Amino acid sequence: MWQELGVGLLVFGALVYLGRKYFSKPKSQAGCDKCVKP
Amino acid sequence: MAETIISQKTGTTQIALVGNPNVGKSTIFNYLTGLNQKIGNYPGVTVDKKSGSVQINGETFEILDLPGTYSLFPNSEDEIIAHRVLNQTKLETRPDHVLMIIDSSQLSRGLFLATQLIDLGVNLAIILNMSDLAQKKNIEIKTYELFKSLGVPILSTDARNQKGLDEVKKLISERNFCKAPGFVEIQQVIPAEMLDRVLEKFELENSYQAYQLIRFGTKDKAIPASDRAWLENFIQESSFDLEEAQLEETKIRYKKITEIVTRTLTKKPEPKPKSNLDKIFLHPVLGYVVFFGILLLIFQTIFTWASYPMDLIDGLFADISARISAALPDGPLTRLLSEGVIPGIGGVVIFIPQIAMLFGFLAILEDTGYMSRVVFLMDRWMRPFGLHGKSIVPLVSGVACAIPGVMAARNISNWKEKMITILITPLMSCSARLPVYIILIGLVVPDEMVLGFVNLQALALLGLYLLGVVGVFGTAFLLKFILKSEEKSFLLTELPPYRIPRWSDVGITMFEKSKTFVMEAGKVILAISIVLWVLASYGPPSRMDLIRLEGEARLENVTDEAQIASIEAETSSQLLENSFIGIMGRAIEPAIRPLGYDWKIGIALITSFAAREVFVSTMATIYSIGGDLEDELTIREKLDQQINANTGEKTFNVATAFSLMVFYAFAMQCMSTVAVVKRETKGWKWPLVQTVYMSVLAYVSALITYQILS
Repeated sequence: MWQELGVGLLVFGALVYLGRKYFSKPKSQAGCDKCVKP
Repeated sequence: MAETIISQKTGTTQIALVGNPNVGKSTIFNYLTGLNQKIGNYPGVTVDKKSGSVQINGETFEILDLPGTYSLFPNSEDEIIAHRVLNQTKLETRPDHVLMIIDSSQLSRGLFLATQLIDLGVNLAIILNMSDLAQKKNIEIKTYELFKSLGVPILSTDARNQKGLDEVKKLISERNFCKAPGFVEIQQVIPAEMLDRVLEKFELENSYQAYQLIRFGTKDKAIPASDRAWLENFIQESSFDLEEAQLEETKIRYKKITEIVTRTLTKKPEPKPKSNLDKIFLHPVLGYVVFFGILLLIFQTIFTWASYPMDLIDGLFADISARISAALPDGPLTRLLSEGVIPGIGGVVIFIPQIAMLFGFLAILEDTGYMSRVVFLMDRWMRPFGLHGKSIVPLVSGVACAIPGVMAARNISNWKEKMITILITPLMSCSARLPVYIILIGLVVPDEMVLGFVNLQALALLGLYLLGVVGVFGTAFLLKFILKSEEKSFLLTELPPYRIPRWSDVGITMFEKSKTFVMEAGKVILAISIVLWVLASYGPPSRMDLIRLEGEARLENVTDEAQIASIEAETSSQLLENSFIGIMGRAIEPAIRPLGYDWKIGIALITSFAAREVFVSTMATIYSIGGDLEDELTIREKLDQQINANTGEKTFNVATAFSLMVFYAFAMQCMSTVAVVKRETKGWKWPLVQTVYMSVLAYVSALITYQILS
């Protein structure tokens, strides 16, 4: 049982990490003009 | 005004290192901080923020290494960062002190930025570095005279030979920085009423800050939109020509600097002529021969030297997996650790030798001054393809890994050239493609010699690398007509003197780059490995239970070990076919059948979307072979025996294998690169465009290859 729980926690952690990394909005919208099409 | 917080103050004194590129700033930074460095990102932008700490007399100082810049007139992303940090108007976000490094042999150029900093009202001290170089050029600087002219402390150092650096520490420890009186009266170039209104509105300290805000504030997205709109209106109402003002400021500043330099600098004729090396390195024919020779040498060395530590790492992680498997009770967590997490970490760590070596070589090329010659040399060949001379650095880096390659494109200031470089760099054959190529070439290309000295397998491998290069330039040529930009570009590069590299700096670069790779890409690959393991290990319970029960029933009356192993392998294969990832493989089979692939290869295509190198391990799992490149022969034999259920022929024949290799040559298949491109372009649009065009290119090329060869 504890093994399943461990797997669940690791998978949850991995999904949360990937979600936050790729889909969360950046805290600041700061940027420079060179990064958007002039 | 500016919301961007450059560094959260922690109570320690923060000192920013500022200077033109190639003045030895990093050497001084490395000397001060050693390995106490951390690399992060400036908020909202992608330029690396390097900071570190130094303890002097029991007190800790934070050192911030700003990107090299020539002036406070920013022109590239790097320069914008330096500009933004130095223009912070709120005390809590501004560095406490600024240490400006100047190349002693280029005093006027360095003083341009230094005097702008004086006008900005920062607490400043100046280091005249590269005193050895100035001495070689018979340049003598009267530092006391310079101090009297500028009003800020001045030190002379030769950082490469560690001379005068203790004085730098002393200066920091004593906080011997000064806020000098203004250098250029900016009211000479812009009406005082304009400056006053901005001073008042934004509660600034001095007129030069106000001028900088008027000149560049509307373009800085770190400034709130309402403030930018206000500035925009204000400038329009005044109908004042700001570009003209900038030109005027430059003229006045240089005039005053020339007066100072005339007083403080003496130069006798140079004792010997310039280096003859440029006659070879910049020669219209020899220059390219030397460059490609150096490239060949680097890659040959990387592939040869890296294989030993890679084998060691591979063995180490296999051993850890086996130990965990033996030590923990059997169960899903044990299997996840031994089959998912540990191989996942191993899959990251195994690339460290190649990455460290590549960046070590690049650091040597840069430190010796050769890289600037390469940029100059390649510029004319890059232009017809819509690229810039500087694009060569990302493309060369892309042979090891597209991630640092894409990041290296940030030095290109022209938007169109930068975008084309980012979009094509992942087409260069990176090291992650190598395992795929090696295993497939070994399967279908005979190990024979042609013309008596060329190995056919090596020739096939070289052909795949060249295919990547053809893809790069072909795509760049098309993109040149698709992407529209009015921006004109030019190459303005400095050819620094040739120098012997500082090995400690090379070592620190190798360490820092490897650390960044492990921390950035490593976490993603590990997380995806965990998710993939679950998808490959679980499926609809009813189907999975049935397969397990059938497998157990078949094993009941069998005693022959070979037969038991065969039944177990068959059961594992069925479980995989019915797992979630297997179901996905089946689902995409109709789409990949025209390329000669079956559903099992489909699974490998899906799993390797995260990272190409996963292909080999996936194939190994699918065909029930617990192997890697060490077990190459076993893998080859087993793959060789596979029969495609759709065609009844061998799964890996010449047509399928080449179709697969061509597919991998062009397909994106790298989640980390997608993430980096998203980060560099600040949105999902370009990584999506890139993934789609590369996938279409890969699919069509693989289809043509298969149809021709089958």
